[in-house]
Amino acid sequence: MTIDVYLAELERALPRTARLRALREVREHLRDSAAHYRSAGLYEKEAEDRATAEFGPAAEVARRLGAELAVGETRLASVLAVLGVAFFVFPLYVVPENVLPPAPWPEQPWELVVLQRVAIAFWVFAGGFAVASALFACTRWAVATARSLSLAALSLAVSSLVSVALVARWFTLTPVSAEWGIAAPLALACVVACSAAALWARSSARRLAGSSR
Amino acid sequence: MTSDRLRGHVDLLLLSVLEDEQAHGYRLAEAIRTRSDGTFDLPEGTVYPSLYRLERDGLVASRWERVDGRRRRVYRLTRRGTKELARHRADWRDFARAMEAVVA
Repeated sequence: MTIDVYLAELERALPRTARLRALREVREHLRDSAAHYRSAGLYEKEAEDRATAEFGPAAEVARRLGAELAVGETRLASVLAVLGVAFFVFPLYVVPENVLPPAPWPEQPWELVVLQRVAIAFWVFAGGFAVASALFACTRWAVATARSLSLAALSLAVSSLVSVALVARWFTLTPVSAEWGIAAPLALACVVACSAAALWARSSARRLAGSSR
Repeated sequence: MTSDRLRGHVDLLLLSVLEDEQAHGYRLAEAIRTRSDGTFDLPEGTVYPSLYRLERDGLVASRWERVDGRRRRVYRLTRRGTKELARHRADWRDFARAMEAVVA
């Protein structure tokens, strides 16, 4: 396999965040290695074939490199997960309590109570798992970090989805007013941002889990 | 020697080479092969995950440098890496001595 073909294969297999540095280093390494084999008398194509074969299968190299680089990324993801959970107080509490139009009903409808409690319960789970993953990320317990980060991400995603349902239901139960123009987009933007953070944290955790295989 | 048997010792090998010189990845793989008279012929791609891990743990540091007209990521041992190498080395000597006593 030529160096260009090998690098293209490696690029496809590497996580996007790991590509820049790893590809540069591997390219220089393969060029050195091919130069060594050329100086030993091999033709260009044979030298490159030998260099790429000596380096190891691209998929395996990508898995291991991606997993190592994911550890650093997961530390960042854990911190962001904690911040994301803290930030989630806006769609869960600040927006409904302060921005939404006052509830027209004397007693809150049961479905809103259920949705709010479920959203808050998953938010609390997310907070616990995010803090745990941030603590595990300071240790060498990659599996524990990956699992707790995954659970934090999933809990935050569930809390986000339930919050969307909550906002949507609230919207249908209250008369349209000027506040809705601010509250609905704000709440949805918070939910979307938290969901995106959750998905990213989950993908980080998956790559990190690869390091323990 | 198969890479499976070397697993777990790659960090010690890398730290040992870096004790003597700052080096980029290819030079490190080459030094390990040369110093072991070709016995430790690792798949060269295994060097980088180990280097990234050592760097994350603060045992080595790296930066881009121009070497022979090309930009390379050059690694060096940190103070913490020097201490860790001494500890690894002492463990290894104890292990080798005990193995020798039992097996030989």
